[in-house]
Amino acid sequence: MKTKKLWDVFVQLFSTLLALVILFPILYAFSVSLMEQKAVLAKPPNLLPPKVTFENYVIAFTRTTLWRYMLNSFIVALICSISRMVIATMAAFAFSFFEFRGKWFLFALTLSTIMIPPDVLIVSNFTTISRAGLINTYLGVCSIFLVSATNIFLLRQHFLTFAKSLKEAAYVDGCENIRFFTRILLPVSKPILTTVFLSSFVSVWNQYVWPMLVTNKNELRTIQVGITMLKDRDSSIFGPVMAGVIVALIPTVLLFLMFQRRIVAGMMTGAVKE
Amino acid sequence: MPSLIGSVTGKSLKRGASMNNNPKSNRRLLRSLEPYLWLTPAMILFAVFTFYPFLETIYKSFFIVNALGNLKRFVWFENYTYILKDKLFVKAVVNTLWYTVLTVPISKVFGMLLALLANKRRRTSAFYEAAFAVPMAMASSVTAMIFQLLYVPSLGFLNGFFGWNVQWLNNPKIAMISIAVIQIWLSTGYAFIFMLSAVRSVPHDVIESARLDGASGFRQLTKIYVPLTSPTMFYLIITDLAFSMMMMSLVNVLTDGGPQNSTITIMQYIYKQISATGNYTNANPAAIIAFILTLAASMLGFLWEKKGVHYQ
Repeated sequence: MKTKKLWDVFVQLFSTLLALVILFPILYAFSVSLMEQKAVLAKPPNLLPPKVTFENYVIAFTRTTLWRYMLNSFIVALICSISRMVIATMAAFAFSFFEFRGKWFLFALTLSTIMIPPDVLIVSNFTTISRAGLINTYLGVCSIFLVSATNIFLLRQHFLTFAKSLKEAAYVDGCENIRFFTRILLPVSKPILTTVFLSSFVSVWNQYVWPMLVTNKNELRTIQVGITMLKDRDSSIFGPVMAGVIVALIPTVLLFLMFQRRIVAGMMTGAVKE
Repeated sequence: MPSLIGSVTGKSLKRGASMNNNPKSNRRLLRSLEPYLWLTPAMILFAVFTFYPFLETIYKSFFIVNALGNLKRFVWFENYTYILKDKLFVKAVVNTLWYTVLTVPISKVFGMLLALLANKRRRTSAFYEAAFAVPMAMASSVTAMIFQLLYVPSLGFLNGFFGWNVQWLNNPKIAMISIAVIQIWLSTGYAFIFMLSAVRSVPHDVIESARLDGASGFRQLTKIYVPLTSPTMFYLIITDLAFSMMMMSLVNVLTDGGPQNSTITIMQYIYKQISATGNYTNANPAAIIAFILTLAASMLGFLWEKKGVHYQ
């Protein structure tokens, strides 16, 4: 019994140590964001700031357009998550509560979009967006993220667990489809809708390639694109950049830590074969 | 539309009773159209941003295309043979495959090991479980910036702390490995969280009876945990294969494909073709080849599924 307890303590110590090693890049970035310029690339390297300063954050927010990047990312992530949530709910509603011609074909079509990596399409999508004059607009940045087949699939699986009887009961009470949708289905699905919203927010917030492609004006860049332009590749002024890095990762990491279970549940559907 | 009747009849009959025939059949029509209306926004977006571009890319890949994206001349497979002879594109394909081979298996093995370590719930497990998983919430560009700092050759943390002298991103031989390390860091958390739930769903009595039979820890791992978690592992590998074949963000931030094109990937090649020179003639077939390679990789995965994945 005693060796078992000792083993338990050992495993926990080891795991905690390992956790710190894994977190190291984030912790180090935070530490550097509080360092003076001369302490960043010193010999021997500093783990902790010799003297704590908030100068880097001041520089990041006043001398660069960091706040604008953050605002852009918030707007884009918000528009896309809301759109994904609304459109996926509507589609899942059709797929789970109606019988109609072509249902399986349309559902297969929806799932097939998962098999096509969006990156393969960026050349063509870029042409579409630039022809539509949407370069350097929020709509252009959002365009390809407005719908997600995995969200539709997730919500459909969830709606199917409601017995059709729920809908039939609602009809007996004289409830229209629209009312059934807004008054009954949406309220009881709040947890799963939160999941869709949060996982979309995190994933859209972290997008890099497409937002970079469709913006070339500084005021419209998202944080993920902007952050890489705070310094050029050969400069060694890392302090303000790390301040920006910390600011950029706080929203998603915080959301993730607060709603880990929710977000993970959203990503896991489809992972395990039924 | 006989299929509609089940849930709707009660309603339409009730309504129909108080009205004449014509509005009733209009209502019927509306009813039968209704599911399509609910699907319209999703289908329009899929059509515009997935199916149309997919077909367009295939179609255009057989043409010479000018810098504005207009078709000039139909050339059959000439574009394909052209880029397959292009040393830079071949290099990009080889680099992408090398990167995939480096990142996909290692991050999955790490994820599995971390999951086994965290399997049993202990007093502090909430902390280290969250810590193991957190990298999955990180963006690749932000992470690239942090590693750029760690990788600084002369006074960067890694070389400075360990007293090494490694040219992480400037040596053509190891630049791709350095990039792969970042991706492994990013995707281990994702693998961990999936494997953790898989490992925890292994039935207790199976483990218990193996233990009573005197099976060693290693045997339990190979005979119980690995086979019983293989469906999740399969899913992780398939999705990550597709993801790695499309990598470009890390390279774009850190090396721009250099040094000496040692880190150029297929997507980076495509991006450079259109952003630097507006060369859609090369970009379209390159995108299709990327898609085919991804598909082929997934097929290999499915082949392995037949042999090695155990569904209960």
